[in-house]
Amino acid sequence: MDYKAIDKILDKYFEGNANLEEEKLLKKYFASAQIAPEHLVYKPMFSYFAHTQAQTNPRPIQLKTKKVRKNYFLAIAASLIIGLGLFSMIYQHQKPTTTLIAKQENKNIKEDEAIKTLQKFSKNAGEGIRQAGALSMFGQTTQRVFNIKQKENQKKSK
Amino acid sequence: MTQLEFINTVSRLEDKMFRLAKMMLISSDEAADAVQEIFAKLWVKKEQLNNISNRDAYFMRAVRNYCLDRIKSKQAKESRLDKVEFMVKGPSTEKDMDNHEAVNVIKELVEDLPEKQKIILLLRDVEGYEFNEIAEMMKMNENAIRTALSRARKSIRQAVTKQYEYGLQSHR
Repeated sequence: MDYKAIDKILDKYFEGNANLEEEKLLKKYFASAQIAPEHLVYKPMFSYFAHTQAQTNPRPIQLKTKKVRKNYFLAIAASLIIGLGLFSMIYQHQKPTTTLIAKQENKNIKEDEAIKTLQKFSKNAGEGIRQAGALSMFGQTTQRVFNIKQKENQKKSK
Repeated sequence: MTQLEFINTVSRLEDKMFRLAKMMLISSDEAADAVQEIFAKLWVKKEQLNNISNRDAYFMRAVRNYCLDRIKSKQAKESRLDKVEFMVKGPSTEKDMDNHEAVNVIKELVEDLPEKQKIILLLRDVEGYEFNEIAEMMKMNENAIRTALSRARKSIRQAVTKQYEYGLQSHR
């Protein structure tokens, strides 16, 4: 190794005037086993550069997958909530009618009991009408979710 | 930029971007977060990235801006206090041990350099970028880059020489 040439390049290096080729030569020289004693002082500097260059990103980059997954879970959650809502509404609607029919069939029923039941029914019916308004909203929302799902399925099949 | 072009850019630049983020944020964890977030943000608008003349410069500048914002926020200031240890492979021989310690000394010297100087040093001496590329990344002219680089290298030389001479004296 021509130590005088290395000296020259080192001077240029510290002035910021060495080109990439010359700097590569320095890196090679300091990674080698034949370093002149007067140059040993710079060895850790170049070792540091080499060590740093060996560092890599520890976490793999994730693109788009995150977002798709989020939407997927949202869709499931939304359809579950809507499904539960529909179920409980239908259940509530059916209950008073069936008991009423059962009581009507029973010929031994007392009048005031019948009136009470009718009153209950009319209350429930009023609520039912109000909830029917909400039902159309739910219908719209489910339709939207189904549309999204259909689109996703179409995408998948493509 | 097409999906394929973007993915190629990710695999080509993620390590460089990580090293730059780590130089600025010190913590490996935060640096990895930074790179992930930058790629996720740019992925969404990859179609708009067509008229970039120099991709390296664009992405590295994005890292720098992101990290500068991070440093400004309180969060980064707090986590900068707990410096993560330099994970060089464990020393096996005594000679390696000496070198390992010496490398850590340099690491600390570099970290204590002014912000611009240490970034420029990294971009040149670790990543091997040309001066015109570094100038584009830093939004500085080439002469200013050379001057800052020379200052950074010289201040490390000065510190190292002092220590080395002291070491020689104590051996006698």
